[in-house]
Formats: sequence, structure tokens, C-alpha cells
Amino acid sequence: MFFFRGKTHKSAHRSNVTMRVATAVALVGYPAGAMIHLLFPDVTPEAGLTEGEIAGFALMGLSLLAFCVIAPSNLQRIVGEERKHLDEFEMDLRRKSYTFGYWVLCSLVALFAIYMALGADSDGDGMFTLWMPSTYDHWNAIFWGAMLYAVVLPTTYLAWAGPAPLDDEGDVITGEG
Amino acid sequence: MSVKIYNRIPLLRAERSLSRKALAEAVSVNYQTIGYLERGDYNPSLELALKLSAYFQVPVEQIFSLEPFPSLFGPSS
Repeated sequence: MFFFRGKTHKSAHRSNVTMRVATAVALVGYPAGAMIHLLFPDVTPEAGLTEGEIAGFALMGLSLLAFCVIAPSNLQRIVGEERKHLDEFEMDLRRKSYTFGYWVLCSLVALFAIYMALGADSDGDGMFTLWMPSTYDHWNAIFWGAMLYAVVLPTTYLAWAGPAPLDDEGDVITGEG
Repeated sequence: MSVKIYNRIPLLRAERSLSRKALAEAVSVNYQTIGYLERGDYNPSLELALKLSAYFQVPVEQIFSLEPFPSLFGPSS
């Protein structure tokens, strides 16, 4: 799994709200951008980018920008850091987040396989025609989308269902006051 | 989490004027883990419970319990 460890070897502390927004943007932005890009194909390449293509690229870029917020975060550290740098509670959170990511990714792959089967079956029988990935660009978009989901889904679980982070790191209880 | 385990870590920390970070470093965990333990969000492993017991030099059942610890000040009126 992926985690960007900076020169200081410390993860960036992000609030729960920031992580929820970043994971939602990363997971929604990429497929939305790819769909828009697909719906508005570049029919005349010499005319430059169409509005649809620009909007599609913008959404995909936004998704990657959100990933840049996620990659060095404290939650991504739990998902991607080496085991020796995590304690038992963090390992417990990692197990839960991987389980969530595994089931969601499996479900998406299963749905995609069903869609492909229906698409292959319907081809040419006149009932209905489903769009099927055919070019290198289509499969490239699917591949990077799957990679993004594999990395971000466990972090999404931590951001949305994990325990709220504690802000203080060193409060001494004195019993005074 | 299936069973809630009550603990006296905040009390023991206060008695020794220990910060979460200092205690966390002593038992080799993240300071947030100590916070989640205190809050009851996480039940420690036997290893961590024994480490805490050894660090505070008290029996483990004086730190952790399946029943709520009695109040030091008696029942509130």
C-alpha cells in the first residue's frame, strides 16, 4: 500500500473533515471526469480540447490533487506505513480498513464483470447496446481508476468510520483547579 | 469491540503527573493509542496491559476491569 513519508518522517495531521472531503473528491472526481471525457469525445483533434474534455480533465486533476492531500496524511500512514512503525491499535485499524477496501473493491470488480458480460452478450442482437472499453485510453483510465480506489478505499473507511482523532498529545492531568 | 473494559489509566497518569506522550513512549505505542484506551474506544492486548501494569507497578486488575471501578468519593448524593 502507498504512503508518502516526508523527510521529517512525520505524517501530516489532517482533520476528519479534511480527510472526508479529500477521500470523497478523490473517489468521485476521477470516475466523473472519465465519464465526462467519454461522453464528449474529441471528434476533431485538430480543433483542440472541447469543453467536455476540459471539464473531464479538470475533475480528474481535482481527484489527483485530493490524493496529494491524502498521501502524506496520518490516516494514510496507518494504511501504508511499514508494520514496524505501527502499534497494536493502528494495526487493528489497518485490518478493519483493509477488510472494508477489499469488500468494496471486490464488489466493484464483480459489477464490472457483470457489466462486461452483459455488454458482450448484447452486442449486435438489437435489444440494447452497452458501451464497452475498447481503446488503450479506455483501459488506461480503468487501470488508474482501479489503482486509485485500491489505495484510497481503506483510508476512506478510516476517515468516515474510524475514531475521531485526539487533538492533544501531552495533556498532564494534575487534578488541580 | 465486544466488551467494554474499564481502566484507571487517567488516574494513574494524574498521580504520576504523566503526559499521554510520556506514557506512550514508555510502553512503545502512539500517544493517540493511550487516548483511545482512556476513552474506552479500544481494549488493549494482553501484552500492552502487562506493559502498563509493569510500568505503573500495580497488578493488572487494578488498572483494567470488566466492571466499572467504584468511585473514590463514594456514591454521589
